[in-house]
Amino acid sequence: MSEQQRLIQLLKLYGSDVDRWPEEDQHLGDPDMFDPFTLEVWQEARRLDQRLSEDVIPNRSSEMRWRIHNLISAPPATFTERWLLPLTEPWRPALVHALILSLGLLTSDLVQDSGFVDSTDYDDAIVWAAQYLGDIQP
Amino acid sequence: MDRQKEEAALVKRVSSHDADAFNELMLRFLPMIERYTFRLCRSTEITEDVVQETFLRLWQGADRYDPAKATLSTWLHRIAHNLCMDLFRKHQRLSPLPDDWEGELSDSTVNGTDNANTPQSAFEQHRKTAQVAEALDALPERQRSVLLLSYFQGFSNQEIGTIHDLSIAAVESLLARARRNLTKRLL
Repeated sequence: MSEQQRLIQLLKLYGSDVDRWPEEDQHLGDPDMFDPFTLEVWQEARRLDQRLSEDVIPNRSSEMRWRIHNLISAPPATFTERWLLPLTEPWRPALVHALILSLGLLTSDLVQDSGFVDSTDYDDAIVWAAQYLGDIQP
Repeated sequence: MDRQKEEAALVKRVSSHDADAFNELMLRFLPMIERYTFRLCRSTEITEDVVQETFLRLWQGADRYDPAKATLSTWLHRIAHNLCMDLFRKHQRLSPLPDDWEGELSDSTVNGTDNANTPQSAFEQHRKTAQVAEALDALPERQRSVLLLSYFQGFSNQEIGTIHDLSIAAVESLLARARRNLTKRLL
């Protein structure tokens, strides 16, 4: 490969900034020594480099560093935190709901066992009101 | 002690959960991982997730890093790249610019000039950035990533080959095609 071919290859791979070229090729990067065709390729590469340098991006490094630092410094999660609080897995809320339902069914059984009689009868309601007011004894 | 050995020593300390060593590595590498990830996915939310996950993997799996195989920078870029690709696959394509992009530019910038004081210059900067971002996003995934690693992150072709599991010839070919495509779109 001739020196000119290598130069053009370097410009097309790395652009016009000689500092980006492999160290062993940097001695080739003097535009004053370029022939007209190579100079044209160099100018085009330089224009592209200028456009690429316009890609300005946000910087949130310090915020992110702080957040990651807090994450790794947090004490290890307890059993409750690991299993019951982060209800992100679909089966976890189902488990919690199932537990609540079971508890409800169990409690309902206990209430019935206590002898409490549920009624919507009109006469019963009159009797309960009379008992409450002390008009009659239970 | 040269830089690579020093970094390997820090990673060894991180593997025994030394927070000071971990912070030192975050100071050195987080900004460059952030820049690479943002340019790859153009989403602040995804960038934050990927950067966080990359460094959590360093914290939890530092003993898996082998300094004989790659530099720490290469290893971290590879992790970040793979995480981004997983997200690309999940969400197919990500929006080129976030909705709050213009607002973020005025906060602080990585390599911008400090001339965004007037609405006019801020708008002009935004327009130029959007054009370049659009051109970069239009590149095929491999070309984009190889160009970002070479041009913006300063990796050698050999290091890029390590990140992507590619030969140097393949990296050079992708790099040349990426610049050719960008020239067509931007000049």
